[in-house]
Amino acid sequence: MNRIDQVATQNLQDCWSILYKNLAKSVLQVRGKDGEVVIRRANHLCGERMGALELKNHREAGKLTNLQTYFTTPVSRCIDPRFRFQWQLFNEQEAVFDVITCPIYDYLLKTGAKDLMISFCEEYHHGCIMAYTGKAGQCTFSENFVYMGENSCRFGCYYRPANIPAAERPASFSADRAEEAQRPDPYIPCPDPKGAFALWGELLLTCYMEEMTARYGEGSVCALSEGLKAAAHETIPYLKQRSISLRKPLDEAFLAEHTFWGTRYENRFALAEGAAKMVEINYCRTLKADLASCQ
Amino acid sequence: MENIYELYTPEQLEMIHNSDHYTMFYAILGQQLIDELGVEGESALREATRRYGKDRGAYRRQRHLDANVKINMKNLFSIGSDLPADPRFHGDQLRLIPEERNTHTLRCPMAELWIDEGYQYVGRLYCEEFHPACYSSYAFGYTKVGLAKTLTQKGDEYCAFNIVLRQEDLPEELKPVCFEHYDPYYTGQTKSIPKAEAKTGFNLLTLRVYYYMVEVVRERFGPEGIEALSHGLEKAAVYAADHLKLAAQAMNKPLDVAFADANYPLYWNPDEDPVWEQYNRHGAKELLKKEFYPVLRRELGL
Repeated sequence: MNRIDQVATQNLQDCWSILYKNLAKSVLQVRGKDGEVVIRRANHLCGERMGALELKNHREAGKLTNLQTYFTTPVSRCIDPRFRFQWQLFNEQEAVFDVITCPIYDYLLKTGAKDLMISFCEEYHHGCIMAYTGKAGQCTFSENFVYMGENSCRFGCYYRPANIPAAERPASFSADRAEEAQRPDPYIPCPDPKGAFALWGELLLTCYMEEMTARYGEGSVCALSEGLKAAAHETIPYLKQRSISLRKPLDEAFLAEHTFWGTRYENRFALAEGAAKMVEINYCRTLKADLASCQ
Repeated sequence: MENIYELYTPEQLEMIHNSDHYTMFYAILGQQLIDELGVEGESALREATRRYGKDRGAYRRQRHLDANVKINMKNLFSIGSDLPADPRFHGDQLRLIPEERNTHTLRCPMAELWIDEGYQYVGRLYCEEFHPACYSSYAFGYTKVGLAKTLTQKGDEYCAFNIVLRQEDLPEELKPVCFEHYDPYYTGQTKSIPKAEAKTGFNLLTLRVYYYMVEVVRERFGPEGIEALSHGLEKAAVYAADHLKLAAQAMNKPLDVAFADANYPLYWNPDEDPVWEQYNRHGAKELLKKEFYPVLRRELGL
């Protein structure tokens, strides 16, 4: 659970959860209930972008783009090793599993924000699978431990050769009928966890900016600046605790390893200039200032 | 396996027979399309099942709108179901509110029959395509259908339905159509919507699911596809006759036209069935008269 090479990934995931939580909360604080529209649309759009990216990655690598590939070969995604899945069906056409442990939910629950989980689960994963399958698949979500009386989340993803044109089938499926495949490893090592979470954070922020602008106009993205600042403010005490647990000093080097944007924004994935500036001014500088004040 | 003839009343048994024949009619025809036409046949079956689902969803929506009922999940699953109530069905309703319906189906006679008769794949296909199409269509395409656990899916012990209609997903003009709190002048339901009865209810379902199979098969395959459907109709007629005979024997009733009419979802005389007026295209009725009824009558000796 806590192998040394996994710890940084876990912390990066929590920093991402902090970002999501605070972006969503900043929308609700300014826009009230109506802001839920933006949250859902942005979460879905973020999923669509990630799904489209993975589709491109897998196509470029010459892989069959089916559910088996999606779940065994994340390229732009990094899977936190604390996730625990119990697989029921796994093959090119079906990915059916229960999520027993979800670090995103755990963090939101611990910090009193579990209500933000439902809109993330319902929208983000659906967006991913729809984009990855060219809208021919399904991503259904039956049970959720956010609800009283349920103790796991059940996902069922389906992608059928019969639901796509015959000419497209060879790019996705090895046969019309699927044989059960070896289930994904519980831990899929990620070559660049920091890069993966930085990208995910950038996708998330960009989608929130686009949806805020679409619904409320350009000036409305200021709310997200507050969300970025709040995320940075929450990140430092969280990492302080983590540094104590790991018996390491909380300093620039620690932040460089355990946060995805750190105190100096690199813009590795060519985030639009306005968005990059928002991250630098509101997140990175706040992180730096808070770090200085707690040392 | 339980003996239904010891457990249920004659009226309930009629419901059960109609339900089982509807279930098997779909499965036999669907399997025939897959067996003869391969993945393209499966593709047609999936599309037909979706069209059928959309039709049922739109039909339920219109009935609710006509009765001034709000289009939401609570009403979809509590007012005027078009699925007759099979007494063998058991569910556990966890949450039923305008935005959400969460239930566990603990026993589904359709799933049991499909599995017992070797049609699990087609049954699973039905669950996968029908439910999203139907519930989504009901609420103008905005319903999210969570159905990742079904009795037709290998390893599952119940069906977990998580059907949600989020206010945030709706355009402004539909919010008052769907939720009372967006409609301050709402005066309530104006007329009752009766629940579907055994014969008429399952007749409407059987006829429509068949109609959409014919429609898609004609569109995609022409005569080759119709031939596959014809083979399926013949098999369905033999299955129907065999099971009507068993049912009459078990109920100690004469196997006559009245019995067949009461216990089978399609009308004994299709020309007396008013539903065909609405579904009178693609030669669906003529195909049934040509390929299904002669075999059924011959097998029953009626």
